Amino acid sequence: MFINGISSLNAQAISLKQDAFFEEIKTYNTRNLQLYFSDFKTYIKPSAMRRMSSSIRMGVVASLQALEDANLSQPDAIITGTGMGCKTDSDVFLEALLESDEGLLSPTKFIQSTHNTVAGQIALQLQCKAYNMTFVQGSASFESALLDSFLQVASAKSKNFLVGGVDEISIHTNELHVLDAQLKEEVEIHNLQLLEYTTPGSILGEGTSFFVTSSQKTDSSYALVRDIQLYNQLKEEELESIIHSFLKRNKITSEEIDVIVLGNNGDVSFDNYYHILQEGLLKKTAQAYYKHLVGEFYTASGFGFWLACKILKLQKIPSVCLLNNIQPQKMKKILLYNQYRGRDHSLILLESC
Amino acid sequence: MSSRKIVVTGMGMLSAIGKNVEENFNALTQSKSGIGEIEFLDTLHRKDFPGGEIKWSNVELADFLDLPKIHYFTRAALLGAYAAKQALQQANLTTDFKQVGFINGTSVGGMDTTEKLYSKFKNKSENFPFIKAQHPGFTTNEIANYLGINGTVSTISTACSSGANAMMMGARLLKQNRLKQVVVGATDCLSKFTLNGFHSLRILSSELCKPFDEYRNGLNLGEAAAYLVIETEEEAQRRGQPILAYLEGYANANDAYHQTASSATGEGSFLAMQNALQEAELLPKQIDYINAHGTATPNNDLSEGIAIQRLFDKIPPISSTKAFTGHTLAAAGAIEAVYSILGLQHQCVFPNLNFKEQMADLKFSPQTTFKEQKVEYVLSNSFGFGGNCSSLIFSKA
Repeated sequence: MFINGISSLNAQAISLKQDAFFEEIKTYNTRNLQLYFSDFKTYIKPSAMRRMSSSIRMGVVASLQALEDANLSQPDAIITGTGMGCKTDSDVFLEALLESDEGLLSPTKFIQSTHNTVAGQIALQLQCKAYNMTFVQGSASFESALLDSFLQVASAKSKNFLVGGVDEISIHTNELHVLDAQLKEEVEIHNLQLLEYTTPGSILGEGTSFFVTSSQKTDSSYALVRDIQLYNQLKEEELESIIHSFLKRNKITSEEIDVIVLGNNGDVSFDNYYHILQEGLLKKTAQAYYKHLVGEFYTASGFGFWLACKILKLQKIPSVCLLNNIQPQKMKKILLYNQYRGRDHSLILLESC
Repeated sequence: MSSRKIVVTGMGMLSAIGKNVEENFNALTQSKSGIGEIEFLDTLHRKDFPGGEIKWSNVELADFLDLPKIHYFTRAALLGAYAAKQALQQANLTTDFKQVGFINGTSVGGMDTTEKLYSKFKNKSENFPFIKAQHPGFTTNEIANYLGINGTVSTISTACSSGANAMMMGARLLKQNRLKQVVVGATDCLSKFTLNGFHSLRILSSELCKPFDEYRNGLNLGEAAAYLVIETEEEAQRRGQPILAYLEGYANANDAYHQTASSATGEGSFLAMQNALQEAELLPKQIDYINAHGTATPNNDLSEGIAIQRLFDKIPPISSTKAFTGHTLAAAGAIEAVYSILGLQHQCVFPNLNFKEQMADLKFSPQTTFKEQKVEYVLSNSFGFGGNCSSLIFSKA
C-alpha cells in the first residue's frame, strides 16, 4: 500500500513545503500542547465553520490538505481513527444533562458527540458517498484505520483511501487525567526535555493526521506500507520476540531497519517498553521520537507516521527527533512502534518507494 | 484470496427478550416484546419513555461472569463479555486464542460509568480506573481480557451501524488471512446520555414503537450485546466445526446528507444494499427476507422504505425487530445479524410488531406475523448517525 498524500496539524508549525518538516520548532512550557494551526478559513466557509467543533475543523482541513497533496479531489473511502471523538461536545452535553438534572437540552452537542462525526462531516463536505468508517481503539485507533485501508487495498485496484486520526483537548477530561496520572503532575513542562522528567504521566496534545493510501504508486508517493500489526496486550519481556516474528513474517532482519520511530512520552511507568528496544534489539539503529513535539493523545502516532513518511521522502531525520546519535546515510526501511500505558501496541513497517 | 467464503460458527447474545440465542428466538416466534418500563437505569424519564432493558443488575451480571469483587467492567463490558462467551463456546474455541481476533462495536462504550462518576471522580481514588472508561476502547479491552484475546483487537464506533461494520472488518481480516477466527459484534447499554440525547432530538416515543406504521412516532431505546464467531469455510471444515450460516456480502456507504437525518431518497441505504448485493453476486429478487433497520422514527422508516422500493421490484417479506428489543444502537446490527441467521436456520421470518396502517408514502407493508417459509438469503440493514449505512447478506448453511 502506497502513501500518496500526507497532512498533519498539531502543536507544531508544520510546513506545507515538500522539502521541509517544520516552519519552525515550537517550544512549550506547559503540559497542554494546543493546536498551532489557525488558518481554517482558507479551507472552510465561515458559515459551515460556525457549526464545527475543533475536531471537525482539524479533520476537514487535514483531509483536504492530504487530498490536495495527492492531487485528488474525491477519495473512494474515508476511514478515521479517534481515541475520544468530539470529546468537548460530548463533555458539554453531559455536563448540561447533569446540571439540569435531565432537563430540556439542545440536541446540537449530542448530534456531534458520536465518534464518527468527523468522518461523517468530511463525507458531507466532499459529498462523498463511499465507504465511511471510524475506529476508536485507544492508542491503536489510527493504526486500526490504516489497517482497514491496508486490508482493502489488497483487493481493490486503483482505489484511493482517505485515512486519518484526530483527537482534541477537552478541559474537563484534562483535569481527570491528572487524577489517574495520565498527565504529569508538574504544571510547567519544557516539552523538548520531556524525556528527562522522572514522573509518571505525559503531556497532553491534540491534532490530526490524514493520508491518501492506494495500491497505485504515483509521482508523489512518499512510502510503501509493508505491514501493520496490532497487539492489544504485550508483556515487556514479549516485545522483542514479537518484533522478531513481525520482521520474519516480512522477510527482513532487524539490521535492515534503518530507523525506528518510537512513541516515548516521558511516562516513567510505561516508557520501559521503548527502552527495551532502544537498549536491546535496535540499539545500533537510528532512533527517532516525536511526542515531545505534539504531546500525547490517542492518535498522536498519526504524527509519528507522518514523520516517517517525510523522513523517507527527504532522506533525513529532524535533529529534534533523534533519540541517539545515529544518522544513516540512506534510509529505506522504517519501523514504527507505539503503545499507551502498556496497552494497544502497534507495529508498522514502512519502506521507501 | 477474496473468494474465501466467510462462515459463522458461533453466536451469543443478550437482549431485552432473552439472555441467550434460544430465548431470543422463542420470544420472536411468540411475538413477545421486551420493551417496558425502565427499572435499572437511574433516570427521571422512567415513566416517560419505555425501553428494552435487560433485567439484570450489574452486580448480578458480574456474578454470572464470576468477576472478582473489584473489577472495572462498564455495563456494556458486562453485557458484551456475557454474550461473547456464548459465541466462543458454540464455536468450540475455549483454550487457544493466539489466532483469534476481536472486533467490537459500541456507540458510547463506558458512558454509564462516566455519567455516574463524572463529577465524583475527584473525591474517590477507587473510581480513578474508570476515568479511562471515557474512551470506548476501554470497554472493548475489558471484554478482551475476559475472553483471553490479546492480539488484534479493535473497536468500531459508527453509531447505530457499529455492529454491522464490525462484521465487515472481521471478514476482511479473514479474507487476507490475518487470523483464523474473529469474534465480531457489538454492545451498548442504556445510559442517561443516550436517553436524553435522543429525547433532545425529539425522536423517542412515549408508547411502544411502531416501525413502518403511518402513525409511527419515534423509537424506544434498548440495550443488548451480540457476537458472532466468523472464520473461513476452509478453516471451519478443517476443524470439523458446524457452519451456521454464510456471510455472503456486505457494504457500507454514506448518505452524505446530514449529520443525523437521512435523505429523502435514501441514497446511503440504497447504495449499501446495492453494493452488498453486488459483492454477494446476487440479484434483489433472490433476497427472501429483509431485516430492516426500521427504528420507527418518521425519518428513518420513510428513507429506508424509499431506498428498498428503489432497489426491489418485488418486495420480499420485511420486518423491523426493533419493537421487540428497542433500538439497541451499536448492538442493533449484531443482534439483527443473529436474528437473520435464525431466520435461515429455522426457515422463517419474524413479525414487525405494533404495525396497523401502511405508510401513505410507501407501497408495502411489513410482515406482521411469525411465518415459516423458504429462506435462502437474508438482507440485514443498519444505519447510523453521520450518514453511516451498512448492509449485510447472510445465506443458509
